[in-house]
Amino acid sequence: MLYPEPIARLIEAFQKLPGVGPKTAQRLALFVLNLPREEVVFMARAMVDAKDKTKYCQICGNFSDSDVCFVCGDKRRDVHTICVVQDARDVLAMEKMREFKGVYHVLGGAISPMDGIGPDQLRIRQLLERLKSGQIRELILATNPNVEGEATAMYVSRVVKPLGIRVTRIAHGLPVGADLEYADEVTLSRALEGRRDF
Amino acid sequence: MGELKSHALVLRTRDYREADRLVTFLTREEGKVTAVARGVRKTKSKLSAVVEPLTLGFFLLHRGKSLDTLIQGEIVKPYRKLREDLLLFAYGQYFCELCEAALPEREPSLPVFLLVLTALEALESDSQPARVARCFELNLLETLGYRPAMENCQHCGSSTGPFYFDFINDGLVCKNCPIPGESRLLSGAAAAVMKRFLNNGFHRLSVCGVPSSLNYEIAHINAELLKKALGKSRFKSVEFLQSLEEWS
Repeated sequence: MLYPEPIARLIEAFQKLPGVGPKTAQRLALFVLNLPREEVVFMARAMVDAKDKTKYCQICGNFSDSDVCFVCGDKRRDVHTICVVQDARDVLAMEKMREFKGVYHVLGGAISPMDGIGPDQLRIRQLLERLKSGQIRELILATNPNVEGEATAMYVSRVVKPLGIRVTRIAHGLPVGADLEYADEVTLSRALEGRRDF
Repeated sequence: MGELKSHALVLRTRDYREADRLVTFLTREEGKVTAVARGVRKTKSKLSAVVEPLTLGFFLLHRGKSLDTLIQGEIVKPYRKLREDLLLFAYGQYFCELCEAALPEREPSLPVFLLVLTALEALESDSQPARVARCFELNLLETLGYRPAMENCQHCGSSTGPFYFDFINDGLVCKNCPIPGESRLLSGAAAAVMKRFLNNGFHRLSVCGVPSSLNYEIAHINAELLKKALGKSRFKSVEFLQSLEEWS
């Protein structure tokens, strides 16, 4: 072995991170060796704390450091509107917009039959439990606009519509700042279908 | 090194690194090929739509040491109906899973490529997706060299049902001949439909009525044949497909 055992272990640990190969892991490990001790301790504690103290919100499934996340715990939010997203990271993306005042429900993935992920592997049962409260007026389906996201949206819509709740889907179309000439026909036809009066 | 320009069907995608996807293509020229599509998870990527599963496109791939890289792509047929109907989507995914399991990487297989495209076209237009699936399964088995003997009884040549389907020799055995251990009862009507699917393929498929009882019989035989031929104990997409069919 070229490196002493503690460094070799650190390299091995860095290699577990997504997108980090042996070379990058080696570079990161040597970088850590050159950091002041307190910074290394800070990084290590931050990782352990994040792992130990992060929970999932009991209501929506979002990341949280308590039983209820910052959105579900906010009394000013409109609890009659639920936005359904695939992943807790999508909640953060939506919150950056600062326009949505409702609450969320995190499914924890999307239906992907080829990967063996069906409705039972997602938090759809928990969503239906929430809807039973009777106070939900609208369910916004904000799953990703790809085939798995669409399939998930179709499935959720199919199970929720009989409950008499309004089900909506976020719009599809061109991203802000894009050139029309580079848009593909699927995106363009969806954008055309979703046009509105101006 | 070099490049590959080919029509291809996107069989499957998996997230890779920060914003990339690993895409499994079924190409016309080189069979199953996996390539990395860089940045396609970003909203402004020009290639996002073309690497969606169940999309037929024309692609330019750059050959790398370990992985190919997608350079350009253009949609030829997006199979929109399959994306807009949950049951059809599930069937489409099942077809892709079968193709993925059937082919090794980079082994040209034009017949499988053409077969799956015909099956997806049929899926979009046929009122009975289950019928399309049974026809696809049997024709895929034939294309791979595992055609079951559906003409007559393998022992005495009788053409009168009911039959037993012999899973050791993959063919029919009539009730008057010695019945093998690994076999399943098959009605004459189901045997006739299977024979028709093998002989005529998707030609005039819509006039071939397959009631649900026959579909069930054929599905069971096909599932066993596929497991044996492709060496897989289960196909993941079948579970979801079955739950949807029970629901509908």
